[in-house]
Formats: sequence, C-alpha cells, structure tokens
Amino acid sequence: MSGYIRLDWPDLSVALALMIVAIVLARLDRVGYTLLFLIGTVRTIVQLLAIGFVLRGVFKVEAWWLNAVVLMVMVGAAVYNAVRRQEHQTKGYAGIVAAALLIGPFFVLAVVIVLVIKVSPGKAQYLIPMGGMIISYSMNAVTLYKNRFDGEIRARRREVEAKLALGATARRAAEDVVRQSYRAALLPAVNFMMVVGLVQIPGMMGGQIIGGADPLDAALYQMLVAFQLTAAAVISCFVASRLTFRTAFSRDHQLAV
Amino acid sequence: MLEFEHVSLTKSGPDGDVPILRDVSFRAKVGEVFTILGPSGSGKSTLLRLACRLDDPGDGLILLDDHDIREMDVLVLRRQVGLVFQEPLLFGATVEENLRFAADPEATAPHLEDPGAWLERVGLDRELLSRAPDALSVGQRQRVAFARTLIPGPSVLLLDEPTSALDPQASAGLLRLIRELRDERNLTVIFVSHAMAQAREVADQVLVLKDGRVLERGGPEIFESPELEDTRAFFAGEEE
Repeated sequence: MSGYIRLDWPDLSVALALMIVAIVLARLDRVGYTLLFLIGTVRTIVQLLAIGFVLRGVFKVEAWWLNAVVLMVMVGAAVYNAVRRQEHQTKGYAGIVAAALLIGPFFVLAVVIVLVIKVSPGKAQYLIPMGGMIISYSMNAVTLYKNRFDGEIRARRREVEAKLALGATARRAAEDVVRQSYRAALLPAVNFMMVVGLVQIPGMMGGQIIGGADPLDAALYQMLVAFQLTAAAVISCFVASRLTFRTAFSRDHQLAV
Repeated sequence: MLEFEHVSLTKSGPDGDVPILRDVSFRAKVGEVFTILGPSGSGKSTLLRLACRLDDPGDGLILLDDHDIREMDVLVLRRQVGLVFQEPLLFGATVEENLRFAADPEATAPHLEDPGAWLERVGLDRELLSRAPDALSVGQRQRVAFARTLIPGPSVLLLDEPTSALDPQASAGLLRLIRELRDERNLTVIFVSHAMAQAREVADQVLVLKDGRVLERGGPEIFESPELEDTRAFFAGEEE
C-alpha cells in the first residue's frame, strides 16, 4: 500500500459546492450564519493555503531553528486565542497560558521526537504536525480548566470562605474547585481514549490511512498521539492550575476574586 | 479581647472608590457580647471579615489580646477567631464531616473525640451526625455551623446576623445558646445584627454603625435613650 489520490482545484470545487448546499439550508432555517459560513469558507481556503506554502518552504529548509519559529508562532496564536476565550478576565493570564504551553507541549514533544520517533529536530515533517496537535490540544485543556475554575470559585466562594474561616489553607479550601476544574479539562482526553477506534477513527489515523499507510502502522501512530496529547494536556493543566491559583488567593489565604 | 483602632477600608467599584469603613474604633472585652447594629450596607459584615482576615483593612490596626493580627500566622488566627456566617453553609456529605474538618482542616482523616457531644452542646441530637447537610432545617444547619466554629476552641466568636434566616422560635433558642456559650467559655462575642429586638436580648455593649462610620456607642441603655437623632431614627425604623 502506498501513495494517495491527489486532489486538484476542480475536485475541490465539488467540495465547495457542498458548502453552498450547507449555506442554502442554513438560510432556509434562518440559522443566521450565512455571513459566518462565507467568511469561514474563505478563511479556511486562505489559512490552509498559507500554511501549505509555509510548510512546503519549511520542509525544504529542514532547520531546527525554523521549526522552532513555526512552533513559537503556534504558541503565540494559542495564547491569543485562549486569552480571548476566557470568561473572566485574569491579570497576567497570557503569561500563565504561555508558561503552560511552553512547558507541557514542549516537554512531551521533546520526548516523542528524541526517544520515540528518533528524528532530528530539523525534521519538520514530524515536528510541525505533532507540535501543532499537542499545542492546540493543550490550549483547549488549559482554557477548559481556567473557565471551570473561574466559574466554580465564584459559585462556591461561600463554601471556600467557610473553610478558610475554619483555618484551612487556600489549597485545602479550594481542593474541590481544583479537582472539578481538572476533571472538566481532562474529560475530553479520557472520553477520547475510551471510544477511540470504536466510535471514530481519529484524524491522524484517518489521514495516514488515506495517505496509503498500513492501518496497523497508523494505529501505532494514533496510540502515540493519544498518549502524547493526554500527557501534554495534564502537564499544561498542572502548570496552569498552580499559576491560576496564585491569582485567586493572596499569600495570606484570602480569596482575591 | 478584640480591638479595632481607626480602621478604614475603601473598595474600588465601577463608579470609583467606595468607602466601606471610615475610622472605626472599638474594644470588645472578654466575656461580653459586643453588638454591632446598623442598616444593610453599613459595613457590619465587613468588620467581621476583617477580624478573621478574610479581608484586610486599608488603614488602621486590629488587635487580638494586644497583638496585631497581621503579625500573627493567619491560619492560627482564624482558629482563635471563629466566624459564623449569616447563611449557614455546610459542606461535604455529612454533618460529621463538617465537624471533623473543623478539628483539623489539613488532615485527611481528622481525629475528633466524640463529635456527637458537640451536636448535643448546641442543642441537637447526636443522630444528626450521619445526616446529609441538605436534610437539616436552616435552624439545625446554623447550630451545626456554631458547633463547627466552636471546635477549634476560639476565644472570639464573630456572629454575622446568625438568626436572620431563622423563625422566631429558632432565633430565641439560638440567642439563648449564644449567652450560654459566652458564660461557659468566657468568649468575646461580636454579634452583628440589623434587628434591634434581638440585639437587645444579648447585648452587653452596643455600637451603631451607619455608612461605615460609628454613629453611637454605649451600654444597653442606648436602646432606651439614644443620643443622636440618626440612631433614634434607625431604632424607630427597626421597631415598625
């Protein structure tokens, strides 16, 4: 098994026609997303073409520093996105997300590239797709953590303060809040591992199979992806949890939100 | 003994800085019920939060037995100064869990000798130990909150309108309990209320607060003959 069927623009225009069907149906039911669908379609085309061209260039150069630049841009975009998606403004949150995403994903990526796939850090073919997956997955986990933490600590502030008033440390008083936030952030990872291969063939495996890879090889890669994503998400939340906690409490165990 | 010396607090809101407390001073002695009265929003509850350092004042000093509370270990302070909130909030799966938490908040399996005795001390049946907090009436929950606050052995009890959610009978019982506990444990009790009738029943000393300022202070005779027109108006409004 090797090779895959290449798509050209006429092929893709058929797929684009599917979008027109989607837009027409959404209009019929007055969903109100016509403009967003149009913008989304254009952005999908422009952004994916851009990344296609960039990656083609990066793949030709095969330099570790160029890969590092691409990964940093991804982290920057992830931080921007996470800060925009927070429901409660937290001072210094951009720094918190940046720290979480630089520690979690990069540690996992280093292990995977050096010890598992065993390629040089200049090998963009592996580094960039793996890095992108890990960064975006960790960003989602950190965002889920933060939003749940913010909501819970406000909803349960009376309980937290009742515990503080009894002489509990901030960490002990907010233990349940932290636990709930972790669970909200990591539930997608747990669900993913539970149903993977049963309910869905995940993107990475699907892509490799379409690309002509042996399904068993693709399955091994998918296992690697599942483990690396979960580990990166947990490490990122571990970092974000500690830093977020410091914004919610003073040194004197006072609730500051 | 708990002492406030020129305590002020300003909070920043959407419309700029709002003064919550302005130059409040008082001294609550051992073995007395020191009552703080005032309309809603006068800063009463804030005083209690400051005394156990859930918040800190912008200016002024708060002393517990002549020690600046900001110099003390905050976790130790909070076990010497017990706070009972307006609405009794119990957590966990059972009443017993609340009492054990109070015995040692940091322990995973805290030791508490005879938790049932604490329930009996606040007038509850020890059988309630295994009950879920939701299965209790508000009055029972408030009594459990009292027991929970007493377990660390505080020398000061801060009560934030503890009877406001209770019916008259339950309130009367709780006021009796407050007096008993004061005598039995020689506690300094700070009793915050907006209800004059209740304050009258327990007060050894009275402080009237309005807009974060001390309006008037004195012994229980203040209820009969307040000096200021504002105090009179507040009392009259309360009696209607």
